[in-house]
Amino acid sequence: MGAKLIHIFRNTPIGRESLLQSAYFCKQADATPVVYIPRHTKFLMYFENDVVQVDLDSSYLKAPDSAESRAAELLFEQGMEADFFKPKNFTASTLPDIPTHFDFMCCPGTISDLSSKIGLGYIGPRVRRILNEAYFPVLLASGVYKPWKRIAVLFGGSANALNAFKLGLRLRRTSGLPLELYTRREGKSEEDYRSIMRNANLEDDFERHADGWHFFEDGPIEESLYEIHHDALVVVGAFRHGLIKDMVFGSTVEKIQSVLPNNLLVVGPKYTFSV
Amino acid sequence: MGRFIKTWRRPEKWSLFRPDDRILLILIGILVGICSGVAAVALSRSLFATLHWVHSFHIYWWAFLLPGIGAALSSLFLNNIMKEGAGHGVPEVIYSVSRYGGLMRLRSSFSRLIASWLTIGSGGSAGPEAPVVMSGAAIGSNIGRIFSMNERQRVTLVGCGAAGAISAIFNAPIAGMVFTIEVILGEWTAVNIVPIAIASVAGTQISRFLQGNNIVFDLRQFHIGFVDVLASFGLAVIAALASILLTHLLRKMPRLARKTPLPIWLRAAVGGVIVGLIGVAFPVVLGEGYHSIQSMIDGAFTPGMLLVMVATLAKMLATAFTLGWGGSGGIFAPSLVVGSLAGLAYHRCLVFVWPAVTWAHEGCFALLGMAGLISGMMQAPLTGIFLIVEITGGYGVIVPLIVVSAISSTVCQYIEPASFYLKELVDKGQLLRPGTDARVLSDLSVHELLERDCISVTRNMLLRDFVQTVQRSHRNFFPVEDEDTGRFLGMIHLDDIRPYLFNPGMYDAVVMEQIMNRGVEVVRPEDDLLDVLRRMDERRLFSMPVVSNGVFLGMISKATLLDRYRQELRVQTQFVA
Amino acid sequence: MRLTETEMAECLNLPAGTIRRWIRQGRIPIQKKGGKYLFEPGALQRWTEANRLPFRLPENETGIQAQITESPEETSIGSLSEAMQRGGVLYDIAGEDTRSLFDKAVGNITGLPDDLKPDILERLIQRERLSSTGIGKGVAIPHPRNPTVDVLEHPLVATCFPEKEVDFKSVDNHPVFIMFILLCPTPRHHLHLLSRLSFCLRDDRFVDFLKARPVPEVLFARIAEIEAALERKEGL
Repeated sequence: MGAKLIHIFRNTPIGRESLLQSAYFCKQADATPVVYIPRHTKFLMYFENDVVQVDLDSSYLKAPDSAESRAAELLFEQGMEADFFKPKNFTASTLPDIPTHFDFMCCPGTISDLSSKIGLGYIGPRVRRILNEAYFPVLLASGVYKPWKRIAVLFGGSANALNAFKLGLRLRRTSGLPLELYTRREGKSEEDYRSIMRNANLEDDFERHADGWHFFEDGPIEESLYEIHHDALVVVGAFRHGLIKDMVFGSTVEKIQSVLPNNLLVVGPKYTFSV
Repeated sequence: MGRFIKTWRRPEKWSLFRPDDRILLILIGILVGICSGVAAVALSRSLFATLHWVHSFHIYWWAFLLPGIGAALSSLFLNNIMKEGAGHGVPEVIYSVSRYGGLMRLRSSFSRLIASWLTIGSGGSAGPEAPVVMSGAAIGSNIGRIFSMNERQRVTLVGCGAAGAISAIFNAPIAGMVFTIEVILGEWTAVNIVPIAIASVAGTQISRFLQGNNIVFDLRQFHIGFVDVLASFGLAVIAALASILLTHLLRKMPRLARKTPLPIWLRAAVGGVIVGLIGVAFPVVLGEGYHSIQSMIDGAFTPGMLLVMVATLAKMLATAFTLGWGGSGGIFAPSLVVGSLAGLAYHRCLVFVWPAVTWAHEGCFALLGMAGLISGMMQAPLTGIFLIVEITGGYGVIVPLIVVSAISSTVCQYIEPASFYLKELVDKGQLLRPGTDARVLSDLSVHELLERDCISVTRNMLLRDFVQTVQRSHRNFFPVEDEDTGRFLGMIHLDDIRPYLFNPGMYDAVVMEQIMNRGVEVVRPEDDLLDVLRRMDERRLFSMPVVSNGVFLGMISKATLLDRYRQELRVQTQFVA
Repeated sequence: MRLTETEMAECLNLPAGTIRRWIRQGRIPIQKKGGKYLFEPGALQRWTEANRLPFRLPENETGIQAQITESPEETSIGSLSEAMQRGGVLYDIAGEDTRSLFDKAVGNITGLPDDLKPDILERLIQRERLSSTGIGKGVAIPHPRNPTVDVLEHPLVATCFPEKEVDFKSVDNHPVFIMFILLCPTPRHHLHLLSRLSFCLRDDRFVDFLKARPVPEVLFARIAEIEAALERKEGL
C-alpha cells in the first residue's frame, strides 16, 4: 500500500504509450503513479553514494502547456488520479533534483538522449547507473502499450535473482496474475537451483504461489527467450560484472532487452525488498 | 582479486581504521588536497600562458572580439557538452554539502576549469578561484565516493578539496582552510579542521613543487602611521559600498541578459564583446587581473584620481558583463582588482584633500581595499584578513587590515544580509548550515515522526461502537476511513464530540460520517517539515494527520517532533567518537 | 555484533528510517553489511550515552519478549474475581451504623496485616463522611478516601453481608444489604475494579442473586463468568 512510481512524462505519442504502460503496471502492483513533467532537459538524482544526472532529449520539453492535462486525462481513463511531482529543490537554477525515495521508476529505454542515438537494445549509461544505485526496481516499458497477463521471473541463482523472485511474488500477490520462473541451466542441474531457493527460505512461497519453473538447456539466448510468453512482464535482476566487461560485451540485461520486446522490470544490486 | 578490490574500496572496514576514522580522513584528505592542488595549478598556469598569448593579438583592431569568442565557446562547452548550467559553482558546492552530504558529479571536477579557462583566457573579467573551488570540491566528493565514505566524511573531503584548491592557487594554506570553513562548510569542529588543514598544506606543497614558492604579490615594506589606521575606517565604508554595488550589478545583469531574445551562447558572446570594448579603453579590466594588482601594490599604476575611479566602475561593469551574460568564472579575482582600484582611488582622494599629511604608500591602500572587498563580498572577514596577509606576505598591515575587513563585512551585512555566495541559497531557503533549525528540520522526514497508534474507524460506525473504540485508544484523534477502499475521509477529535459521548440517546442515532471533520488539513509524507510546522503554527494545530494517496498513515504532532528534534540536534552537533 | 534493521530499531527505540539516515550520514557508529547492521556494542553504548539516547541490547529472542511483557502497558491489571478471592466473603457482620460495621468488617478481613487495620478503618470512615458510598439498590462500596494503599501488593475486595440491613444514607435511601470494601495499591486498579463492579451491579438479576447470600465459590464463579463476557466484548 502506498507504493509510488515515478514517471517522467513525455508529451509525444511514445510518451503516451509509456505512461499507459506505467499506469497499467501501477494498477497491477497496487501503486500510484507520480508524474514528473520536465521543464528542463536535465535533472539530478541523488542516491546514497552517487549522483546521476539524467539528460533528456528535447522531445521531453515539447508542448508543455498540454502536457499536464494530457497526462491527467490518460491516467483518468485508467481510473487513476494524477499526482504531479513538482521539484522543490534545485542544484542549479535549471537543474532540479528528483528525490529517490520512490518504490518504482519507469525509464523508457530512451531516457537519455545518448541512447536514443545509439539505437534500440541499449540501456543508456544513465539508466545503468540508476540501476546500480537505486533502492527501487526500474520498469523499462516497451515501446507500445501492452497489458501483460503473466509474470515471468528470470532466475539465475544470484542474490539479485532472489530479489527478483521476491518482487515477482509481490506482483503476483497484488495482481493475482500467474507467476513463472525461467532459468538457463548454465551447466548446473535443476536441483542446484532448487537448493538455492531452499536456502533462501523461499521454497514454500515457490510451491504456493509460483505456477511453474522452466529450465532451458544452454543455447543461444534468443532461442531460450523465445519461450517466454509475449504477454509477460519480465522481472530480472541486474548486477555489475565490471565496467570493462559491461562496456565490451554489454550486460545480460541489455542482451535481454535487445531480444525481448516485453516490458522489463529490472532489479538493481542495491534493491532491498520491502513489503 | 575481486574481494581484494572490494575491501580496498571500503577502507573503513580495515581493522586499522575501524575504531576511528580520523587517520583515514587525514590520509585521504592529503590525496584530495594534492589532486585539487594540481587542478588549481593547471588552471592558473594555463591561464597565465593563454593570457600571454592572447595579449599578442591586442595590436589588432579586432582584439575586442576575443573575449566574446572565448565566452561563447565557454558557454557552449558548459551547456551543450557538459550539460551544466552557468554560474560560478560555489553555491552548488554549499548546496550539495548541506543537503546531499557533498555528493557532486564527476564532470564538475573539470568542466568549470575548462569553461573558465576559455572565458578568462580570452580576456573575460572573472576569477579562476570559484571554478577551482568547485573542481576541488568535486574531486574530493568523487574520491570519497570511490572509497564509499559516508556523508560526514564526504563533506570533510569536499572541504579538503576546496581548501587544497584555494591554498594551491594563492600559495596560501591558512586562507584555504579559513575560506573552506567559513564559507563552504560553516562548521568549526575538530574533526573537520584537521583533515582540511592538512589538505591545505598538501595543496600548497604541490603548488610550490610545481611552480615554486612565490608569494603571489610581492610586497614592499609599508610604514603604517596612526592617520592611516584612521583613514582605513573611511576605506572600509568605500569598500563596503563597492561590494554592494558589485553584488547588485552581478545580480541584475543575468536578468537583463535573459530578456534578450538570443540563444545562450550568443548572449555570452555579446557580453564578451562588450567587455572587449571596455578593455580597449581600460586594459586593466581584462583577464583575472593579478598583473594589474601587482603593479598597483608596487605603485606603478600611473593614472590619476578620476581615471582610477572610472576604472573601478569599468572593472565592475566588465565583471558583470562577463559573468552575468553567460561567461564562466568566479568573483574572487575581480573583487581583488576592484578592491585595489578602490583603495588606490581612495588614496588619491586623501592626497588631494590633505596633501600635507604623510600617508602610507598607495600600494598599502590597494591592499586594504582588496581585503575590504573580499570581506564585503563574501561576508567572511577572516578569509579576507588571512588571504591578504598570506598573498602579500606582509604582517605589518594587520591592524588596518582587521579594521577594514571587520567594518566592511559588517556594513555589507547590514545592507545585504546574505553574501554573494549565499544569497541564491538563502532566497531558495536552501542554506542549511549544520546544527541550525532549518538543517535539523530538513534532515528529519515526516516518515520518521509518524505516530501510528491511532485507531481508525469506519464511516458507518455507530456512536455506540465508537464509545468502545474511545475506551481502547490512547489518542484523542480518530481517522475515519471508507470501509471498502480504505480512503481517508476525515477526522474525529474527541473534543468535538465530547458532549454527545455522554448522551446514550444519541448512541444509535449518529454515525461517524455525520460527526467527523471533513476537509481537515493533511500532511503528505513527502512534505517538508519546515512547511508542515508553518502550517501548524498558522492554524494553531498541535497535530495533523498524514495522508498518502488518500490513505491515512498516522499522525504527526509537535510533541513527537520536539523529542526527535532534540535527538537530532544532539546527534548532529556531537562528534562521533 | 550484527542485527537486522527491525532489531536495531527496537534496540535504540528509534524509527528504522532515522537509523538508516544516521548510518548514511555517518553520525552513528554502525556499519551496514549485507542486509544487516554491524556494530561494536561497547562503542555504540558509549555513543548512545553521549547522545542521551536509549539503548538496550537484546540478550536473545526471549529477552525482548520478556521485557515487552514487563512493560506497564502490557501487564494485566488483574480481574475482579481474583481480587474478591483475596478479600474473601464475610457473612453476618454485626453493626448498627457504618462505623461499627466497618470496624467489624475490617477486623475480619484475613488478607490484611493487622497493624494496618486501624489506619484503613479511619480512612474508610473519613471517606464515608465525605459522601455515602452506598450506590443504591442496597449496595455499598466503601473505600479509603485516598484510594491508594501502597503497602498492598495486589488489590483486594472484601465482600461483606451485614447481619441486618444498615442505613447508609444511600442515593436511593435503600438500606444496604451488601458492601464491597475496595482496597487497591494504585488508582488505576481502583478505577478498574470499581468499573467492573459497577458493571456487574447494573444487572438487577445479579443484585437479586447477591440478596440470596451465595456461598463464596458460587459468587466467584458468577463474577468470573460476567467478567469473561465483558472481556470478550471489549476485545472486539
